Amino acid sequence: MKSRGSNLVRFLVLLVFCAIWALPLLYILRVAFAAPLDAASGAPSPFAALSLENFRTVLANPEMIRALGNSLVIGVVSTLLVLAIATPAAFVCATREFRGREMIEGWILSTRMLPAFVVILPYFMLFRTAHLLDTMLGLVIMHVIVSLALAFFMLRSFFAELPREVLEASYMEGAGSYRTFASVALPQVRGGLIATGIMVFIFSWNELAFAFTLAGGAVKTGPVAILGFMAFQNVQIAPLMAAASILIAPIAILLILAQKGLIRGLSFGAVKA
Amino acid sequence: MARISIEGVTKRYSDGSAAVDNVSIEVADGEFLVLVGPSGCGKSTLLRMIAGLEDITSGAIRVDDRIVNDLPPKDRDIAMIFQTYALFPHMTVEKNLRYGLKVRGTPKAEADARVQKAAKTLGLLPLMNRRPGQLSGGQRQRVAIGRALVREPSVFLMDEPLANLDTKLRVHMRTEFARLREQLRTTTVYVTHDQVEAMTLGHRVCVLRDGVVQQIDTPDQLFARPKNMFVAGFIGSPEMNFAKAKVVGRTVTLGSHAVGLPDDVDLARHDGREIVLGIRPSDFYERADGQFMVDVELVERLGSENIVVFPVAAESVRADRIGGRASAVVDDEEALQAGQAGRTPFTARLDGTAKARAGVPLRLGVAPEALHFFDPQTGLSIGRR
Repeated sequence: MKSRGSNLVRFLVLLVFCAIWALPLLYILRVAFAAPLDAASGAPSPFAALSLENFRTVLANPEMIRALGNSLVIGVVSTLLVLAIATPAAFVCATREFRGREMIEGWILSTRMLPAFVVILPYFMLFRTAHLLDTMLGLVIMHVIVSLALAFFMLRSFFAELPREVLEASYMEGAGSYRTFASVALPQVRGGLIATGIMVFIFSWNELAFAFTLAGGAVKTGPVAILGFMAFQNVQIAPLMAAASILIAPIAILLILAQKGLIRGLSFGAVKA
Repeated sequence: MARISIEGVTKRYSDGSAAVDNVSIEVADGEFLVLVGPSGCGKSTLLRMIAGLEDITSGAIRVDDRIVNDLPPKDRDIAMIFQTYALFPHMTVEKNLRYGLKVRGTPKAEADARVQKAAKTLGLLPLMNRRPGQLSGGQRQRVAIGRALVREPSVFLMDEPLANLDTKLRVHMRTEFARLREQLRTTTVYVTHDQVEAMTLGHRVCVLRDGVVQQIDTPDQLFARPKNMFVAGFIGSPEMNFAKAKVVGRTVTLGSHAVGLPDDVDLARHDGREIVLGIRPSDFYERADGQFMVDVELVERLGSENIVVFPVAAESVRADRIGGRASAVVDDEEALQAGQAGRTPFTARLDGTAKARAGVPLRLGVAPEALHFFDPQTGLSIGRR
């Protein structure tokens, strides 16, 4: 039994952390839902009247709608591609011993070691040569490249948790690797697959650096469009916050729906070691 | 139905240690062979090599006349029952049973019939729509057996299938396995560390130690004529008593006791030298003219039998310290006996009506035929013609 005092301290510490994390979010929501006049100052009273006017402004902007649509398509397609590539790779690395395995894993990990801005220029040159600049396909490819490592290591930890004997039982029953992967391993890591998919989608949905550098003309994503509110229209704070709220909404819903699986997925390694 | 030939099989790890060392075993068609030994003796590794789940460093494994060394498990027509049961947690009992048939493309009508038959035999019919997570340990065990049965494989491999059950269920399932063995007559290799399971289930039993075969024999022979001290000590409970003894002509002296040699034993080569004498607790009996006059130290009354402990004035010998890979670790048993050099506690198992009482001297006899003699250096059985 923990004493009441230590519980209280823990509660207060967590409260401070929550506040630090939540305040910007609350600010965004407050400004977004304020009447344009109240919001103009950039600091509406917490008790100012609620209004949807800013959302109307944003959603009346076809460029913003198109950008959100682009983000959705790029997010969904890149997520599916990442899962399709990373899942079998993770299964093999988690369940088989073979020469060069550690080297391959190290190489996959290394793709996450360089900061985005360091690799943007080479990718820009590559994409220019391949005529992928300012295309949906280009952004999909870029997001797949960047997300593969995270997805691989998350999925690998899920597969590694499967009892070895259950897979062996499948082999003994006459199944080969593909069958065992599809019929025995995959159904057991369904939760992990969903958690990984959500992480990859969130990355793609939020990603700005590549979307801004490699596209941003004909093909804008949500974050790039929001940036537009700052650059072109002298920071219209209220519509900007409304757009930000719209961008955050699907992520928030996904996170709430998948909270349990995500926490398990992100604390991978912590439980086993 | 199939024969299994294991020919000089070795499993060596990259650090050079051998888990299985030059093992050769023939398992006859329809035979139930038990691999038994302490943990780490290589019995599970050997089983996994037969299954195809573990690579073979050298040697050959044949099923009938086909070498299966490099055959993947799915092509070996072998079914395996795992200690943890290894059921597919996301499938119902029925789907678990059906999986192997589905994978092999068995026609549906036949698969249905086989699944139904196995489920009926094992009392699984009311559980068909449950998932493994909703079953008790005993029920999971039966599903695991069922999954192996429906395949009608040519060989069964069983890796400590009873180890995860509680004592009562284990005894029950042991009887079930014996019944299945008679019913199916399928070639089976069964791994256990439990000598009772080994003795009750095996047509023959193979005792392994440090990856080396010690003896392969019928349970009766293993008990009556162990080839070395390790087998003698491993098989039988309570464990066989061992102590240093001296050969003097046609007698052996054990402390202050002298025992005549049986007619079929010739220890002339060891005359005047020390050997190890082994006596099973169950071979002692109460007798007014017995060879042993002992001071009873302790009596454990178990109802049907009494376990009597008494000291013998002779140097003790540990069966697991002779031959094999000598280990220098001093364990609890040795620590307990330290400071009692030249004194060995012996155990006798007498029937429940015996009057033995602690502190009261008792006269015990042993039939000369029941004595076991071992070489003190190699631990090998000696003297029997």
